[in-house]
Amino acid sequence: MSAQTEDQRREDRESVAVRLASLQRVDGNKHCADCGERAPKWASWNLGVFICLQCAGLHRNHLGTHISKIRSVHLDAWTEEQVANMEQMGNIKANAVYEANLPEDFERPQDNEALMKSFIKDKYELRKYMSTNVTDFSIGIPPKNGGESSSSEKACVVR
Amino acid sequence: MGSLLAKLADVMQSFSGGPPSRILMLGLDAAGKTTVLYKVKLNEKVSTIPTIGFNVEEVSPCKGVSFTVWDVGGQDKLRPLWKVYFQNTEGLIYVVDSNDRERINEARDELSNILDDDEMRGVPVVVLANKQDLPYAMNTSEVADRMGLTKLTDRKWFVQGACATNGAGLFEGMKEMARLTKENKKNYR
Repeated sequence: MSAQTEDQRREDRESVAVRLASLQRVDGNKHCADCGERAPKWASWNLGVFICLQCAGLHRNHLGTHISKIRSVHLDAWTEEQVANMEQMGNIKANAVYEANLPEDFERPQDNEALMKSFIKDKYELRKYMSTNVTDFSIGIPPKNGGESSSSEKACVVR
Repeated sequence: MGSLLAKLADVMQSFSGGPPSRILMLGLDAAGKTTVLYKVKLNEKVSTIPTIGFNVEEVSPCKGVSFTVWDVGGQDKLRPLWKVYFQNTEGLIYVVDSNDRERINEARDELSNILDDDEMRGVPVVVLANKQDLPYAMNTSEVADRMGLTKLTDRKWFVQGACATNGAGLFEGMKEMARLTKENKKNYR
C-alpha cells in the first residue's frame, strides 16, 4: 500500500499534466514526428516522440509494444518514468537519431497509409535511417527489437 | 389460441437461435479489440486508430449464432466508463496483448475489477490471448495463469490464443462464447 495521500496523488497528476503540456509547446513537438501533422496529441513514450492519432494507430497496428508504447496525452494516466523519458527525448532529438540518414529529398508519404506504414517500420523497427554514431544519443534509445528487459532498463533515463 | 401462438413463436425462435446475445468486449488499450471486431464482422484486416468511445456491430461468427458486440475504448481514462455497458451483458470477451508482458498485471487487475461488479455476476468470460504472432508473446497457459483465471470459481471461463490480424483463433473463441452464453441462459431458466 502506498502511503501517498489523495491530495499528493492529485498534485502528482497535475504536475504530470503541466509537464506534458509544456513539452507539447516545445519546437519540434508541435508536429507529428512521423508525418508532420500539426498539434499531435499522442506519444510513444519509450521512443520519446509526440505523434498524431493516425500515426499512433500505425504504431499500434504494425510495431508491437516491444518497439513502441503508445499513450494519449489526455486519455491516459502517465507515470513519472514515462514523462521523464519524453523530457529526455522529444521529436527533435529522436528524429536526429531515427532519421539521421533520411535522404534529403525524402518526402513524407502523409496521405498514403501503406507508404506511411512501411516508413514507420523502416524508421523504428529496421532502424534504416538511424545514425550509426548513436553514442551521443544513446541515452533514451531502447534496445533494438525491445527485448524482455524491464521498462526502466529500456528507457534508461539518466538524470 | 394466444398461448399456442406464443408457443409457436418460441419454437420459431429456437430454430433461428433467438435474438442476438449482448457481448461486451473489453481489455487494455492496444489489446486489439477493434481489430478483432472487424476481422469477425468483415473478415478483413482493417487499419484501426485508437477507439475514443465505442464501436458496436452485429456479427454472426458461425451458423445459428448472432452477437451484438460492444467494443469500448481502453485508454486509462476511458476505463471508468466500461461499467456503463455492463447491464444485461451475456458474455464478456476480454482481449489481452500477449506480447505486452509489462502490462499483464494491469490487464489482470482491470479484469478483476470488471468481474467484481454486481452486474457482471456469473457472466462467462472468454479471454483472447491476442498477438500470438509477436516475438515475446506469452502462450495461452501462461496468459491464463498470469491473468488469475485458474483461480476463477464463480463463472465459466475459457482462454483462446489468437492473432486478430490473420483471424487465427477468433472463430474458436466466438464459438466458445456462444456455447458458454447458451449454457448460462439454460441455467437461469
